[in-house]
Amino acid sequence: MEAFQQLLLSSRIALDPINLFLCFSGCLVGTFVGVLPGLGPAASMSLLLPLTFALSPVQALILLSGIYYGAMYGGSTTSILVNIPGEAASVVTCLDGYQMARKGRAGPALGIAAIGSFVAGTFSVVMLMLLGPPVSAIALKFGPPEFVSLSLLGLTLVTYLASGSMIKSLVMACAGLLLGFIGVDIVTGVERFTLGLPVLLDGVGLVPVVMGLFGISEVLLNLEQSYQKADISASTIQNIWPDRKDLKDSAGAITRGSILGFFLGVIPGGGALLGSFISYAVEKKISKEPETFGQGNIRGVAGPESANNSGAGGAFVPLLTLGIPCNVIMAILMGGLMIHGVEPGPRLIPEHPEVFWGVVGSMYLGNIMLLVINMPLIGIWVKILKLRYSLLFPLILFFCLIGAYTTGNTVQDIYVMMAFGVVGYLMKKFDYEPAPLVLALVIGPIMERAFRQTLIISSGELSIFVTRPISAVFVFAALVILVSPLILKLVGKERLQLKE
Amino acid sequence: MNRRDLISGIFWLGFGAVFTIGGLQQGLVRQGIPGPGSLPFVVGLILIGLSSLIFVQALSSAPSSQTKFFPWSDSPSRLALALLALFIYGFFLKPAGFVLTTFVFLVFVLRWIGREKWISVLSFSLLTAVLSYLLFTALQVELPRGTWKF
Repeated sequence: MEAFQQLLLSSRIALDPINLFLCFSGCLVGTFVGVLPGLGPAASMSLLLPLTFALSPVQALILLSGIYYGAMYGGSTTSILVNIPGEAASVVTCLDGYQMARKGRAGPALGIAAIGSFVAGTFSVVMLMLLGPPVSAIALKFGPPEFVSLSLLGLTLVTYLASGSMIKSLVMACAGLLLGFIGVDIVTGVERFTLGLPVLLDGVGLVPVVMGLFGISEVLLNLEQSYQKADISASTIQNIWPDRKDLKDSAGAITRGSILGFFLGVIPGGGALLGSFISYAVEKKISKEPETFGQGNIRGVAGPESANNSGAGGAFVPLLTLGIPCNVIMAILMGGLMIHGVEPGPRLIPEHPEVFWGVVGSMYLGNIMLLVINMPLIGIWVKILKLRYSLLFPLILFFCLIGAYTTGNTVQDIYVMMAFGVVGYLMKKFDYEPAPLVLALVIGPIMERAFRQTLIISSGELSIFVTRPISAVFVFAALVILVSPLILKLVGKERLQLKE
Repeated sequence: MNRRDLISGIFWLGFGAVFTIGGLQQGLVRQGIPGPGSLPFVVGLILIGLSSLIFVQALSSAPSSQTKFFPWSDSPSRLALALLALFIYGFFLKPAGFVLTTFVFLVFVLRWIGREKWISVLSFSLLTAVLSYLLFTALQVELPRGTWKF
């Protein structure tokens, strides 16, 4: 009976005409930014965040999540047609997708990417619906110590799974936490590290930071290069629908990609990116013809494309049930919900069921909408790709400026965004990844509040984190992850010495 | 020696030190509970440790063949122009209003950074400024109107 009521609530919210329109707009904008290289879903969602202030929390989440999974769909188009991934999770699709396009099979490649994305997206929504309420019910038993250790575990996983040096990722996480401490202290009311600037009293704004790190820095990096025109004419699209053999070849890859992608998406730091890479590796490993991978094997497109869409859905589980954003996009969604006065976490489903079930319902419909948008509109997306960068970058800069300004109606946010644009540019030059910084910036204040509550409960005893069993498990897991690279290094050295 | 890691190590070391000292000044403990400076102090210390590690590793590493910082000779001037344009936009947005500032900003970046032809510069800038004004007004987004009230 309860399940029926939830389903009814879900469909009532999703089928509301305004919500339908917002879901469609989100999917369309998402596909657009997924197609366009240089403007990722993180920056686009931040750009649109101020526009959601006039909407209700559920409407805002429907629009913003539509952009996210829309971008996952759209990212494959550029990977297949021009060998340029629209967003990071589509990098691996270039390997076989582009080769298929070069062999005149761009149509089936785009078709299977859309079908795989649809199947995986639907699978992830069903899983979110099934897993959300029980996980949330378990998390309701968590107290402040469990949240501190869970946040710590989440941050550790993010830094562990980030590409490049783990030390640098940890530096980024620490920097994000420190930036999160800026502003008025919630317990004592003391101003911390504000430099006397009124704009920093409420803390460093998430929107200017994300737009600076992901929008402005990307434009700066592109501007210093000479403009390169993609060879779009090389790929001609004939029949968009894959034939029976293609579908038969891809069925297994889509199934595996959907399952693998979802569970990797749930892990903090995993997300859509990790799922797509691992799915490709699995498909190649189990294939009877591994040598055909990288030469236009359709399973090399079907698996990763399914995995990245499934991972996009999976990432909603820890956000909506535990209040832990497992990637930058989820951090922005979390920030967006908090602006609307809704705090994601175990209390979300009992206190705001309309937000959870509304998003679930809209994601169902969104997946169907995306199939409709992707298949017939591919010609239009290709035309958009031909837009000169010299016309595109002023628009990106302009939208970033307006997005930053409208967050708090102050030009100081523009300067904050500029500063983080330069920081983001330098971070890329110095091989630092911005994702752990953004996640820590969002988690930081919540973690600090829980940390101080914990120490009030325990009268200042830090041992509370290891004497409570659930918290102890999280702390132990975080420690294992932190120490594991060092142990692996030592074991590797020992083996080398033994061999010598 | 990896120069970039050396520089970034020093930067983060300084960043961590600022928060560690700031944390100390704000108080680590107040009435038996953690004070406002407690966590900034601890995280600042961790950052100092990590950045020292980067610094030491950079000193002891073999010289790496890193790519040039700026790929082209005119790269710095393009970046400087883009940042200048952003700064000017922020500076004039309130006094000059949204439409005029947006128009001038777009003309500047399209012509002097994008090197577009005048005809496309003017038409694109005018169209974007006016259409975005109408769109944002319709979406009830509050935009500065400036001295000329638009």
